[in-house]
Amino acid sequence: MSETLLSLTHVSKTFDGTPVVKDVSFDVKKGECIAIIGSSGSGKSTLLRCINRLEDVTSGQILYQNRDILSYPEKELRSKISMVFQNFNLFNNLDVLGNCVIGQLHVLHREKKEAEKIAMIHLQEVGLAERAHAKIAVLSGGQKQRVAIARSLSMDPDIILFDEPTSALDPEMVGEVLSVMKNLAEKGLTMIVVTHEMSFAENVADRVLFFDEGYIKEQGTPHFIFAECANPRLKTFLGHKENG
Amino acid sequence: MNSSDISYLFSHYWSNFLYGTLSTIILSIVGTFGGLLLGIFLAFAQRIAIKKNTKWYQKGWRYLLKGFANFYSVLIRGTPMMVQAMIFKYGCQALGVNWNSIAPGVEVFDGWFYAGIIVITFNTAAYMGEIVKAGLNGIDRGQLEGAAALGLSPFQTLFYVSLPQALRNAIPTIGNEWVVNIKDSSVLNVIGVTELYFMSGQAANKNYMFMASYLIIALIYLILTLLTSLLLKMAERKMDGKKFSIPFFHYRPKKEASV
Repeated sequence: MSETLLSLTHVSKTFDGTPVVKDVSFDVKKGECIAIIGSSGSGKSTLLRCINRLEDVTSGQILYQNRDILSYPEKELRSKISMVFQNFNLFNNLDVLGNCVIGQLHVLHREKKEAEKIAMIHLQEVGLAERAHAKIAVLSGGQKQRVAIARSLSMDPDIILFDEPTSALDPEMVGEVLSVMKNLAEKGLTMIVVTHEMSFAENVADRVLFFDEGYIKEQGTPHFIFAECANPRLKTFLGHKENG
Repeated sequence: MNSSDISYLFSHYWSNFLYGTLSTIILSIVGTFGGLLLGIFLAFAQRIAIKKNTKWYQKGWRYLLKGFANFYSVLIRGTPMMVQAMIFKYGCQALGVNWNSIAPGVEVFDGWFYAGIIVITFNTAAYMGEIVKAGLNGIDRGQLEGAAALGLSPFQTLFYVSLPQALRNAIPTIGNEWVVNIKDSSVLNVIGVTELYFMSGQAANKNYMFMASYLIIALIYLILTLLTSLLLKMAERKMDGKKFSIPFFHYRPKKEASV
């Protein structure tokens, strides 16, 4: 049994009195790939943001390596739990390599040469080594998202949180990003992926959580969620996805 | 006035005009870029975040700094530089600071020249503060979140991500401020700064050739502002990755007739 990296107990998040995440509990084991599915506005992204401390939980507790995430210095926590965003959030004033190096230099305090070497390894991994000196503005959406993934990987995180990484992409570019993510999952990187790509959740994830109105309504193996589960709300959601 | 006045002034007082022109150029450059540096600090101060969970003693100095920056910006932008210069002059007098006896470094300029540099720099700072603030507000939230998620501190984010982009976007406005300073430095003559307007006045008064004198400096101001604008355009084109060229004189190849 591999160790538990992350443990959420009764986590709730409220914005100005409106509950968005309600009483969510689950564990994430090292090397696990968890897909979170559910309709828009069901609190999936907010939950990810709480794990990265872009938001703080209203109640409940999130433990990372058996320690409350609130007790970590923000820098340390965020270098260990990295995040990839829907809209890439790359720095436009830096080139591809610069984006992958900046965090290593100023958060991990690595030497510039070492940082660039590590960045190049991860750019190679996402297939963008030859674009290392390209400006962000000239890249396609799929390339931008792969740079964002390389930027996260360069920090040597224990967990990467993916917040709808393919939702802002043209259908043509979704594949290139998903295949990079699939490779990472196969290499044993711990991932929590909020996604609308049901094929990814079904074929790559080890476990799938179904979010509805802020609650985890169902969770289990992809086979259970997509084939066996009889929850009518989940059935409706998946039905819409198939048709839509 | 006749055209011989102009040639008389030019031949006898060219050193006055040259000295004045140099002073004006130095005042505008130091004022603009010194003002920009101070303006960056003003913009930082105006944007200091005060959150609910900020500790009370931090809240105190943050409110103080923010309040000061806002007050300074409103005060300076709401009053003419000429008035500011006079208040500075008589303020210094009241405090016993005598600019006549202060001439650090180059002795070509007297003490009032340095006083002028202080006035124009602190005046420009208020405008630059607004320009930088607008530039920073224009950076999309996503990049700031990306930086936070990477573990960069708010200050590191400002320094390595937001500010470079804000300044790049603000270059046309900053350049504009430079052109404004070339012209507006003329008001510093009221405290005896020996810039172009002041120096031409000397030549005019001695010879009663007012019209000719002011026509000459109008031309010099025009040449200075046009050259500066040209320089800025060239810099912008360079930064946009276009080939280095002189604006208004681009060579445009003729379009070939489509087959």
